[in-house]
Amino acid sequence: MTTHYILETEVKEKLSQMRRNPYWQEAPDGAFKEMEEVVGSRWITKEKVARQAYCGRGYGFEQYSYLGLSYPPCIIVLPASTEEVAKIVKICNKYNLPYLPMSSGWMITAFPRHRPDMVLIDLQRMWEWKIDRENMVATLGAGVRYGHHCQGCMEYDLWFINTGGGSASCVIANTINYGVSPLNYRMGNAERRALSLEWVTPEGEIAYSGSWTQGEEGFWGDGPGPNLMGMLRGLDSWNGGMGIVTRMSLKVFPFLENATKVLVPEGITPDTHLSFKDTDRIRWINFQLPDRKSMEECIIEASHTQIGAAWTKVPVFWRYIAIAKDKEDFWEKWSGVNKEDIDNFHLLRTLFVGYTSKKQMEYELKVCEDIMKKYGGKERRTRPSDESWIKNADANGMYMMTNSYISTLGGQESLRCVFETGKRLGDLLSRHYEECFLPQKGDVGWWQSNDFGHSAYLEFMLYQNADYWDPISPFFNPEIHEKGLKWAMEVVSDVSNDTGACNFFGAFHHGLLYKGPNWSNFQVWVDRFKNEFDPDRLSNPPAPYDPEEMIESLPHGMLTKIRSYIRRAKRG
Amino acid sequence: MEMDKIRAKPEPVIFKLDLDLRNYHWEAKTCCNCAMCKYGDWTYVPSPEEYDFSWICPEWEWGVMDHYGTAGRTKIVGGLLAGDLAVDDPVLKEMVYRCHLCGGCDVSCKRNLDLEMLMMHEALMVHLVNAGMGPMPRHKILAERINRTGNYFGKEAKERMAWAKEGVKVAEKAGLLYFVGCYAAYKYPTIAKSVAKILNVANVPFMLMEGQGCCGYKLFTVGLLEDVTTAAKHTIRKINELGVKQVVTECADCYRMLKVEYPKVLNMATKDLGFEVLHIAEYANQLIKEGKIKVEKEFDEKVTYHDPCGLGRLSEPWIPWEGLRDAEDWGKLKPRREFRRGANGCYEPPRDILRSIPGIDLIEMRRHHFNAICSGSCGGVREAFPEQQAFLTDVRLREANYVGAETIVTANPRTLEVFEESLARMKIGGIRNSIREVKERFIGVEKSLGVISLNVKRVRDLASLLASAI
Amino acid sequence: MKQAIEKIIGNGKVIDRKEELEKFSSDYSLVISKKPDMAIKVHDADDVLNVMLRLNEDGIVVYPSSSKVHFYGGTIPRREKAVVMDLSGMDRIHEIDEVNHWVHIEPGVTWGQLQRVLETKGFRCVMPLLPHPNRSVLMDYLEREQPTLCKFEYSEMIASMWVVWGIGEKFTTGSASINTFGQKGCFADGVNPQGPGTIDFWRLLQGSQGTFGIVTKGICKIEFIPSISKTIFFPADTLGQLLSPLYEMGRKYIGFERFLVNKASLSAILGGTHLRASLPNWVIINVLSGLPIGRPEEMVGYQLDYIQNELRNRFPQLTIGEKLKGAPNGIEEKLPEMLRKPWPDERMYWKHGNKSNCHEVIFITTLNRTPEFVEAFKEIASEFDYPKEDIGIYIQPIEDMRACQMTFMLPYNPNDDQELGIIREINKKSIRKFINKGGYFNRIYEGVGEVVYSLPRVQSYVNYIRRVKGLFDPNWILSPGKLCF
Repeated sequence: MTTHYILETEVKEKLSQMRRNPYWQEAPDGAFKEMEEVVGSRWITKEKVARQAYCGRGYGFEQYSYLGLSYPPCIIVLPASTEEVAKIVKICNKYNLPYLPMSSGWMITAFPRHRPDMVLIDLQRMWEWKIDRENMVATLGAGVRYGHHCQGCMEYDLWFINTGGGSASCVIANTINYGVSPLNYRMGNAERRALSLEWVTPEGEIAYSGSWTQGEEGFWGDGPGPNLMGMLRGLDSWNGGMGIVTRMSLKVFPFLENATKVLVPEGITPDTHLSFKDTDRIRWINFQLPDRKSMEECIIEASHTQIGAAWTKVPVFWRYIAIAKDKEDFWEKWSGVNKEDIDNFHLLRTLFVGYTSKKQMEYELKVCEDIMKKYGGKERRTRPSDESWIKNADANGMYMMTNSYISTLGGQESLRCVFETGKRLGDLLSRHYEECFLPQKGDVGWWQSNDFGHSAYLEFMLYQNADYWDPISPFFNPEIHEKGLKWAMEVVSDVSNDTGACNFFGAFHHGLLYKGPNWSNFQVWVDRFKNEFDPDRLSNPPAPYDPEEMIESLPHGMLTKIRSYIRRAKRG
Repeated sequence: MEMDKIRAKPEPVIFKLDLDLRNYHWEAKTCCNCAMCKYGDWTYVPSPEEYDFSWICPEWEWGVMDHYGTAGRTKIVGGLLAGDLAVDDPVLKEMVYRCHLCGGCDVSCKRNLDLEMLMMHEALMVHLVNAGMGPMPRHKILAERINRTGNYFGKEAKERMAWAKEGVKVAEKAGLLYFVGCYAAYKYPTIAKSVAKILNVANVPFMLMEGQGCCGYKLFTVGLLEDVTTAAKHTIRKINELGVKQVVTECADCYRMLKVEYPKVLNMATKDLGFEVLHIAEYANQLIKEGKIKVEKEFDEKVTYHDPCGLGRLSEPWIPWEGLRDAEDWGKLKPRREFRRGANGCYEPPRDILRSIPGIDLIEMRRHHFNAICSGSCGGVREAFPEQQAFLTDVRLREANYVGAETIVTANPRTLEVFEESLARMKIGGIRNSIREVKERFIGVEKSLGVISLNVKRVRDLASLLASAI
Repeated sequence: MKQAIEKIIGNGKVIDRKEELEKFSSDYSLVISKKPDMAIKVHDADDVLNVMLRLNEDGIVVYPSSSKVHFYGGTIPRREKAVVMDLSGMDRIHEIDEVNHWVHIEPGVTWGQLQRVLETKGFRCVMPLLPHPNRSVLMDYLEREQPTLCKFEYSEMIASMWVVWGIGEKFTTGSASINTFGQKGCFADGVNPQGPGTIDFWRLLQGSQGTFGIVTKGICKIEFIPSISKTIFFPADTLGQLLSPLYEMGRKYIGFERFLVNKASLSAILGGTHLRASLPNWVIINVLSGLPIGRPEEMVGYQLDYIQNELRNRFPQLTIGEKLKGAPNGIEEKLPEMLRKPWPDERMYWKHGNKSNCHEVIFITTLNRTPEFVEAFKEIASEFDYPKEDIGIYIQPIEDMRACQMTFMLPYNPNDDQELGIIREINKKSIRKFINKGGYFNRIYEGVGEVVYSLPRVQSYVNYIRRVKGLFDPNWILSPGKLCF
């Protein structure tokens, strides 16, 4: 019996076959020296130990679809200001060195997936945080994370979303890329939350957008004229492929007075939570609906009444994660659940906040009661606390069951579209692909109402066996790997294309070239922008995609159908 | 590339909870970079305006770059095990020994996951020692001194119990052994006397161990596994020979060693030691509840309590484990094991003691209980990297200052020492120095760095404080 | 060229007679009149595309026009040998999505037209303050007209859009970009404004004033018509007295339509300058509303309760009430309905009622700074002896009082050259002054661009946005001379 499945010699042999580049690549001395002059010797290194630390293995799925081919950067540099970032980017341009910005390092794009010649620009020293309570605007530096930001807002009787990506996510990076939470119900889309921007362009220039173009106060975005943020944030994200946003002002939102006395951190690990000390002003409530149709119609009607602060349906197994003591406990409990249980379990999780007053909350609860009566909804016992959405978003808990996880679809469209898409995905997964992943038993994913029902969001997550998907592991299972990739890269895309649920995880799962032709050939515009502003592909290549690199680097991760799509897609 | 040719025939995988680094490849490869090892439990993080009070990892707060933190360290371990990184890289050694082994990352990670981060750090140090690359030169000098003289200070072994010569009633034989830490014995004899006083006042007979030596904490925390194993075997045997049922100590490090690390290195369970290990905080708290000691004197002070790592989150009993990680069944451990997540650390007894003293206004710092940051004194950092330790202790003292405390109380003499030094620095303008050092690291933090007046006046040891109050 | 275009879109659709081109050569703005060479009346997106392609061939400059009335000079050519593309005939309402609350409209659809249709289904537009009934709904949203409905943390008022880029390519923005949109089996409703891909085309289109592309259809947000409404007035002598109540009502989500006006503006809305004598100097108008589903009376009830029990106690110096002293009788009942419809077509537009035209200085600031801007503007106006009592001031909270749009309205007689000259001077001076004071101009109208685009911090923006324009309109035929192009 081996101590563990990795023996150094086996791994070395495998890696030497898989890697197309030398693992360590040194940057030109001149580049290092010039960057050192910018930040000081304390904040730059090319020591191998440090570089190795920044060599990630990706975010679940990617570590495998990219064959775990993450390389260490050639230089790590930690600038302290936008000006320093701009100088670094200019130096990279001068020496033709690709670079990638990293805020939290929490996601795939924080690591140089394909290339050992990248300069990693670690933004975590940029920790500016100011709040204008009266006008509900916060100004942040690139390093600030959600957990801290949410606490800070509450100290001013304000609040903000905490993203599904977790408290570890940096606010700016997440706003520029995704920014989804059940609280989008009232707080709107991420791009609408961003106000003024300070942006280091791929060419190393500093550009502003919003009221920062005309003064020092970042109280508004939009303009002057078109909003330059439009270059930076679409549905898919550039993932650092269009320069670096180093500073941003953001909306923050009205909340309860004395919020930190109403939401109090309590508990000893692992049972920590924000305890609700006034359930007349804030409550989560879970409602069990008799069937799927009732649940769907209920959320539509509730959204129309504009009550509540969040309306969301979470995957059933999240509840099992929440109550499980450990991985083994989870599996013991989850194994006892069958498809019929899932098909008959329809839980809506709702948040009510008495922003105005106790009377306002009473009113909303009455309306909610009316709606539940109409649709047969029954209130279930719900803890008067929050563990997952207000300050601590424990997205890392998603890794508990299988140590590997990925969201393959993040779709924002109408409620009926997300309903249908979730149903199809749940059904297809359980019927044809269940052996590749944690069995979800037909669950239709996580969805929620956004913007008072004007739109909706669906996220469909997968949890794969960390070993079956790792080509370095002796347990690597190429059949499951390929089938699972087919699901993630083709089937999900096909469903998304069929139903119209546009998927904002497209960039690193499916490749924009695979998706683009189905969505007005947007890839042509992505190309045009990239060719204009970063023609040498220095800003975090190959984000959001680089077809040549993808085809080369993913020999058996790139399925035939996808290759043909990529080769056929029109270029700009 | 044909993957089939590469695929090896899988063999069952053993996972043993010991200090062999190869057992932690799982940790290396499945760390998801969630940063809880950096900041602790998100539920408790403070506002961005108090950023320097939001870290759980002391080394990372000092060093900032990711190789100073656990998430980065997992990649380094992965690199070592895969052969991408050489064990004789000189920077590797320096970086590994900057870890305090405080367990902050471990407990934080385990809030959501089942990874053994502290074990990984400990095993990494052992790995370096085994490869001839560790520990640091100053650790080697210290280890030689400890092995030679049986104490941290290199003083005469026979002087360890000099404090007990007068004013203390020691029994020849008793069911309770007072295991005296090096600091209490040699540097802070008043603490040892205070423990004795508490026990004497409560009429609890206790004995001392003749020829007692160092617990070996500093040997353990630099990866000198062989030395520690020897010390563990010797000490446990000697304690059992005394026939005591309980061992009490005033030192959080001795407590950790006796209760957790000795069983760990000997691959046995704490419950099988043959005796119960208690800290004087636990023991004295129980005495108060039973009415055996009465707190009478008033202390009109705003007090904050610093949770020592060894007494708090790291103090749950050790449970050895060996089994399979079934890679073909979702990586489940078989048989199931119980995880030490820091939930049952000794957090409340010290606070109960403080609450029982009239006049004390107990204020919590931002980081407390399982979420407390290390004072900087843990591990071998103070010896090898004194500037790192000083930076961290200063930040912690400023945190106490920030919440309005006048007194910092701790239950670990070594921690007391570093706080005393820090306070001395603060009194001569060190507060501005500490602020400057943080500002150099993190640009934009203001509120926590805006308090420059010093209201902290003193540092106290818990046992000494209680002894003064009864 | 006329023949070439007519070949594409049909005979009779190209106007080149001087008298017919008058309406495209000037408008209510200060932009200097210039006549286009012709006006091309397009019918649909294919027309737009084909015309654009043809214009690109010869590099003919084009200015799109959607509304039937124009206030900001958007459609007046800035170059010689220009054409206007008239989209006012593209006025179809394609669909009312009653489930998701959106409406699919073409750019020629006006407020008057849209509201009449929506009303039949119990819906209302999300409207700026009493818009002109002949203004294009889509264009007003793209111009960043702020709605009086500031209750919501709004995502976009427009979701997906269909556009023809200056380069002569059709494109769809947002989630309607799926190729099968609208077909059987596709469930997309086009309600996500983001993307597609990595570009947020929406954000580049809004505020571009027709310099990147021509929107040929858009999906716009609608809301229920409330079944119950109650207007609450907060009159005051000084603006300063109303800041705190307005902030608080925003924070507490009180009211649907909510805005602040001075007496000059209010008198214009309510019926004429004669009302100035009796109206208060300043007033907040807040319309509490109950939706037709849920419990509308109770919805109004808790808001009213807050006003009566909290706000009244906190601001005892204010006479908060359901009636407004000095206003015409019954106005409290009329106002909610007024605010949910455009200005009546049969009446002179309220902004023009005083002197037949009105210039607006529009910018964004924070509410707490509005008194400074008021004082500054009055100083400038008095330098030119512009009567203070004529200055209309309108402060529109945006999204629950996060910032506000401040509008100074200057009625003037456009036929009086001296008055016109004064207005130009006041405009120029106030723009400079307000920018120096931290006001933010994001609607780039006459006189604004030359100041804004010369600021040091804007230069990078200008550089990049011009290059963006180069992608969408490489031949620079779309609306050159506008913004920084």
